[in-house]
Amino acid sequence: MHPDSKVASPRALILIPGSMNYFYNQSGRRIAEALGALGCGIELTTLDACPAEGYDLCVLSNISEILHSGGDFEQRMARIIDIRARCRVMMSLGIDCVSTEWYHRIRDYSARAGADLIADLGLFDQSPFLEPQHRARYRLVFSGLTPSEARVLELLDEDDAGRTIPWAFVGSSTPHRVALIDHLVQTVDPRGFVYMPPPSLCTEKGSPHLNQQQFERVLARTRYQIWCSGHSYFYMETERFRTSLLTGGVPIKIIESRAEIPASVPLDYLMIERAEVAQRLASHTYARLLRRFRDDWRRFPMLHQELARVLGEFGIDAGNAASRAA
Amino acid sequence: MEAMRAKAGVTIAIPNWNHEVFLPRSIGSALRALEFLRAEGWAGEVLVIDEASRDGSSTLLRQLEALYFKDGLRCLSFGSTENIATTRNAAAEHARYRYLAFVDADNELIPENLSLFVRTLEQTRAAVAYGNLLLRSTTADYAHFMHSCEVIQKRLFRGGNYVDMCSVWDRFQLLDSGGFDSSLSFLEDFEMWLHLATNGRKIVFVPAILGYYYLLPTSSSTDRSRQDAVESRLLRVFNQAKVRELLPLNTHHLRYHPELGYV
Repeated sequence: MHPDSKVASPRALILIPGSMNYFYNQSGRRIAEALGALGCGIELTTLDACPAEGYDLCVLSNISEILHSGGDFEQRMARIIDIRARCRVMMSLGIDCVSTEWYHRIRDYSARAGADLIADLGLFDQSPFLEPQHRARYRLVFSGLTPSEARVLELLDEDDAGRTIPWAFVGSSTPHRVALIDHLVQTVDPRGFVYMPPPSLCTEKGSPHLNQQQFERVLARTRYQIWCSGHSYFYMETERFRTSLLTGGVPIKIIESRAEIPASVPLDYLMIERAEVAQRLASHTYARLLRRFRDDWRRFPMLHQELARVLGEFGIDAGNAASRAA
Repeated sequence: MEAMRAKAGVTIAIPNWNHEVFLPRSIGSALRALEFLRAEGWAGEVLVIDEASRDGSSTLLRQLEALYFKDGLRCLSFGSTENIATTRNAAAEHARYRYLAFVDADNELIPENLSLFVRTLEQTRAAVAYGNLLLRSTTADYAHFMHSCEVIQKRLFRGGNYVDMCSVWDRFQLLDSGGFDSSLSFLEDFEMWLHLATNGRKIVFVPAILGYYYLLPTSSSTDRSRQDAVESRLLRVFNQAKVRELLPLNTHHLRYHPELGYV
């Protein structure tokens, strides 16, 4: 092809649930920004508002929530299948542990919709935890920063004088988590921020849970964000790590045993057994942990680089679109 | 600020009815909480109100009062038992200070955290501040359940009280609102949440651990049939037309942390 020839930038449709758990809307917006950085034309919308046009790429964030966010399930599935016919590539997005039933639903719905791949917007490769027949469509898209997030990171300082809340635990209440809270109160510091309503949707408005903005306000005044999984499988909750990074704190995941951490996962020093949490969170280690966490993340690939790599495999030359745009 | 806090002050009220063996734990945590409050400039007292206990509570309380009077412990004994609503009203009348923390004998405060709740009342002018309560069985090392762990929502009017009485009150607003319904020997707390909510008072959730509740085999809260009977009466009083969820609620979804403001 002649270098002066005009090639249209890829057009991407990103579907978000809109009214369900806010973090899937958030993931869709992040993907939109990253694809925008690659020079793609972006349409970010809900299934109900989706225009009847053709696209190079359709991203579903995530298909289960899109299907369940109102109206008849089968009619909504039919609309997604119709969109599939108008797109070159359909990418179903997940930010979930692949061993859970909610990932299995994403996998099954994605297959029915004809999605080409399931992109795991995560921090480590979960393909070893998948059965062999489900690995072909799985791709890890490392959840690196978007350009705007990278700018936020560079503006953060290391001064923790304003972080007057020693730790925060935000999530749904379960007996296992309640016992952990009791342990933190007894052994780490009783003054933690604890918000654990019973399980329900985390919508952007009107939910008893904190939304993204409220959660970030809490984390901006907190040293450690602490959590544990609501299931028994190994997983690194991507959004927990990312929100801590961008609000200037340190994420700490409590795990049953360090033996469950697969080899070569990043940030493994931020995953701690319950019995050792008090010793590991002694105040003198905070600054060291914070610096190491930020330095490590700066070495990770950016989200748009990861998307360009994966989409290139499916014939979408998004990386070169950015060069042309530049 | 310190002078204002010393004048307003905090009374930690502990109603007791035959809970002798639990009193050292609840009173001990309250006295330690006073130490933390005083360090921030608050005046304070621990006020135990004994409802004609027949176990060893009276003797124990007299001994504890003699030992810890200088630390702020006062004990009142009533010769007859009416009900817990009457006892809570008596606490509101006999308290010396503006802010009133209700701590039952089978509760234990997290001493460091009481100040978060008092400061919330000071900063928001709410009627009540409450927070997470960890539930433990008597022999467990760790809690297994958390009570009072969510904000006031309109679903409160559908029944099922999810806010425990272990909470911190503006005593003036409590008295101004008429106090607890003394015709109730049960669920007086649920009645009060509904009363305050329907009268436009603010009930604020503080996202911190206020204390523990120790679950006993004979805890009155395990008697489901009594709860159901009183609950149906309360819902008839406060939501007979079943329109509460359609009406505005001044105290809907209020979360406040003194280090953050409203969240």
